[in-house]
Amino acid sequence: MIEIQNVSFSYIDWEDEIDNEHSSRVLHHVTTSIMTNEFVALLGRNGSGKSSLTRLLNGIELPSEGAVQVEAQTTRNSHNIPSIRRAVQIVFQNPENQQVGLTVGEDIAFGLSNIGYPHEQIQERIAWAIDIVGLDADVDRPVTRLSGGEQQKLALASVLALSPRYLILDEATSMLDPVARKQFVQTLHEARKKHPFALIYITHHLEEVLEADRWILFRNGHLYQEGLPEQFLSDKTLLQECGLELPYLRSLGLTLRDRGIPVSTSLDVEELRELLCRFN
Amino acid sequence: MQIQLVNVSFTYSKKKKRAASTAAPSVLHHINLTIQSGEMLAIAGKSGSGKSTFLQLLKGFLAPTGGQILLDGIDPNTSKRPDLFDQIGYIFQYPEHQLFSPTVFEDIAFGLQSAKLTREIKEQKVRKAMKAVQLDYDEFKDRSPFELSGGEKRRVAIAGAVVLEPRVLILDEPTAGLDLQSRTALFDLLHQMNEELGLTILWVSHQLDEIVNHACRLLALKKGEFIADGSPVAILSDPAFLNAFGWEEPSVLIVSRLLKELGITSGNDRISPEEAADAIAAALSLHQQQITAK
Repeated sequence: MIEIQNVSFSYIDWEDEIDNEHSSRVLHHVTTSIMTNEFVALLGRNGSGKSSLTRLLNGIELPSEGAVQVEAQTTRNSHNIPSIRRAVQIVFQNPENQQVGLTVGEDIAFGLSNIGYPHEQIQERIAWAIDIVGLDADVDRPVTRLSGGEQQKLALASVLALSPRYLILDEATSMLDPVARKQFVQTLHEARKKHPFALIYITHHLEEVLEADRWILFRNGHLYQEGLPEQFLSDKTLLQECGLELPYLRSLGLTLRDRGIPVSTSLDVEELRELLCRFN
Repeated sequence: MQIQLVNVSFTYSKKKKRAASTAAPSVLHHINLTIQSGEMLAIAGKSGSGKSTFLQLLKGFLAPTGGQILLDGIDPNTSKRPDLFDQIGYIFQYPEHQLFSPTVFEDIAFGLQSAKLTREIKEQKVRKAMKAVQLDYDEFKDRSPFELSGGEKRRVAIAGAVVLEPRVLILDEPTAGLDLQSRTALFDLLHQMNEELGLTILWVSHQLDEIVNHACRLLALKKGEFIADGSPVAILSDPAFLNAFGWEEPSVLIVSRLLKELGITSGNDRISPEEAADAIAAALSLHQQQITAK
């Protein structure tokens, strides 16, 4: 479990700034926890604090106030950092930001040799990781010859190879086409079935997180609301405030219900067709 | 500016190397197409299909390994007219990662440096570019680009291209990572620049809804070839095309067609959920009235 206890955060470190100038704060008194093997979506507008929070979870940044504990180890104690970083991995928005190797193989091997993975098993692990993300490239392919979407898959492969217990995806599917995005999410869920880990997923597209265990909505650096997806899926205004748009059919279903037409909230094309054909 | 591609191919491997290794995949194959001035055109395709390479050829970052690119009928690569490429503005993926100046003004004005302009003219141009991207000059010019929101940063980056007064604007996944409001504002902006300044807008997108809502023409790239070129509504509701990509038809198109087929609406191809619900509600109540009348 990751516990986030009354966490406030500002990128500016000056004490007086924190005392006097609340506007520089990107997070205000956030308290929540991420359970083992849970699938959590972090949602909210650009600049609402989602990404900043994830940077606190593995000690890239330390809270200005409050504490973050990963499996009872605080990120404030620098001795804990290596094991915390191993447990909590991040795939960022822009995959170029986390490439270290010259080739696909080197890139995946880097993290593995850093954690002391048995040398003779590294090649096997690289092949496993490439396969699990469905990256269509051999180990010798230079990373400069990968497209944006392929780089995103490589970034995922590199962290999955390390068997994280918590995986943070910060809009890691943004450069993938619709099928690849679906496959990517499926790949993740399959990987989680075989080797369970918690998934912390940041996105602006709700259709990717309809199956999450919990949504956490952020607004202006505050944890605004959290709960089951179903709790929020009928609240268009709230979602809009958080920069989110309902998928088309959800939105149509809700509007029809508003007009007194009894359709299910998860309206699909078949149900719509049946409804319309009944009176046509 | 008219952009013409005549039998354009591109491969990353050099010819010498190709003799030695068998793996020299060509990224783009024999592309022929014309983009007219003022088009609003989306490019879609799987990752690795050659989208970014295609855009970089248009901007002259890469030169074709076969065929010709003609800008207003002139091949800038062979006729020593690289300046023609200056009329094409290019916005990279996540352009805000490339902001680096201490102020918004300096960042936008950076591209003007080599032009030796007077201070006044420079200021005028930056003002105009900021107006085009809807950032208030006095409010933003002295602020650090790093303290802006994601949507605002991206506007600064776009202004940095617009300040050079391009006739074509190329954007590589401009809405990736933006929230609903910033996405809407960005497209309002692109439409406005397209309509008022007559700019050709070309962008790569993975969001089919976005393409349906904003593009007049869609180019779909698969393994280095454009397998579809035409109206987004027609292409994205064509089962053969969708099959080729494994994509699902956008719900807005399915619902629009269904309502049209059943005679509930007359011809809206891109009906909004609200309009659809109203039309369905009206049809239902009419139906009920007819039953009661009987």
